[in-house]
Amino acid sequence: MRRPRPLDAVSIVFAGFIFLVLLSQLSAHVLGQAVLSYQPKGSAALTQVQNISVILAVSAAALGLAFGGAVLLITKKRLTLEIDVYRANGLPATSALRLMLNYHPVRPLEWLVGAAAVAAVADSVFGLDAMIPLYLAACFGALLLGWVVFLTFSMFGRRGFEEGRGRVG
Amino acid sequence: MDRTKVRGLFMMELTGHAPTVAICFAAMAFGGYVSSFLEYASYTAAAVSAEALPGLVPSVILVIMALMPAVFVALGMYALVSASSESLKYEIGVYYSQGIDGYAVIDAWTTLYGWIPTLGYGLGLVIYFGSTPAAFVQLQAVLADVASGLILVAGLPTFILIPRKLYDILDTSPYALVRSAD
Repeated sequence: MRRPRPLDAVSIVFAGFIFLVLLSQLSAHVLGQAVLSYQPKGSAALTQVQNISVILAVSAAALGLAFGGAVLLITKKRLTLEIDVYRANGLPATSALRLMLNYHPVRPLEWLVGAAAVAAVADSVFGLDAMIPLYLAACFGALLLGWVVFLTFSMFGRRGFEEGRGRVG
Repeated sequence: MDRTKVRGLFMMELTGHAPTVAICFAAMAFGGYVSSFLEYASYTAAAVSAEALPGLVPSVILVIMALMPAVFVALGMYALVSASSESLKYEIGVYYSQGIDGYAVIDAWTTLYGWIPTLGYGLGLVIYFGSTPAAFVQLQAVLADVASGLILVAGLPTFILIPRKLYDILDTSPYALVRSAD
């Protein structure tokens, strides 16, 4: 069985929030279509429903980014320990970064790409024209990769382990 | 079990988990605020569209939209607990070695990640209705139903999802192995 990685928990936030934002947009779309089919001039109700949908999607995206950021902060200790091991073994920052990127963000990115693909398909099938889930996916991806890059370089910018392989400076 | 020990455990956990609990509380308060805002907006939209749109399905969709923020928050909290699982497993091992039962620790965690965030959600509702008198006046007749319904919906995932995750952590920690050997 595959051993859980520290950043796996963030996959739930990424995929879950993209799906929920998509669901809220779909609900508003279905409701809007129903309003128009019952009463072609029901534009006041339609505008209100669309406004609610946008507010819901934007607030959910903000919540998703807040929770995603919180999960990444919680995992900081474990990731920094790992980077310290790379430093102590004399690896350069770029090699450590490559190892970190190859190992940690894989599963969250898989979930993210999967959720974004579903959002894009739903977008084209239902004619939603809703870009918020896709923008959210891009923000999540940038947040995740940015965090790993930031942690790696900030740890390598610290003092210590300068004496070479396996020696604490 | 000794009450002082349990109280000490709770205070220790509250101090140790303060940043995560504070994040959960703030997120849940934000979720409560957004929920009540959407409840008011969807109530207004339902009133506007009632003449244009008879039927049950639109009402169900509006209710779903109003309840979604609570589901968003419960999902985020689940992820926070999941991200902390390694340290929770470590903690439970240490507490068990000090003679504290695992289920007492679960009770403390449920309070931290269940009751406290649900209070935050209630606070969000109060802040919204307190700062928006128009919404309070318009929903006055149904306010008790709206508030209790929202808190119930926010509480259900919180009290089902989170304890389930906590028991999963308990069962997969070395504590379960030691306990089964006792």
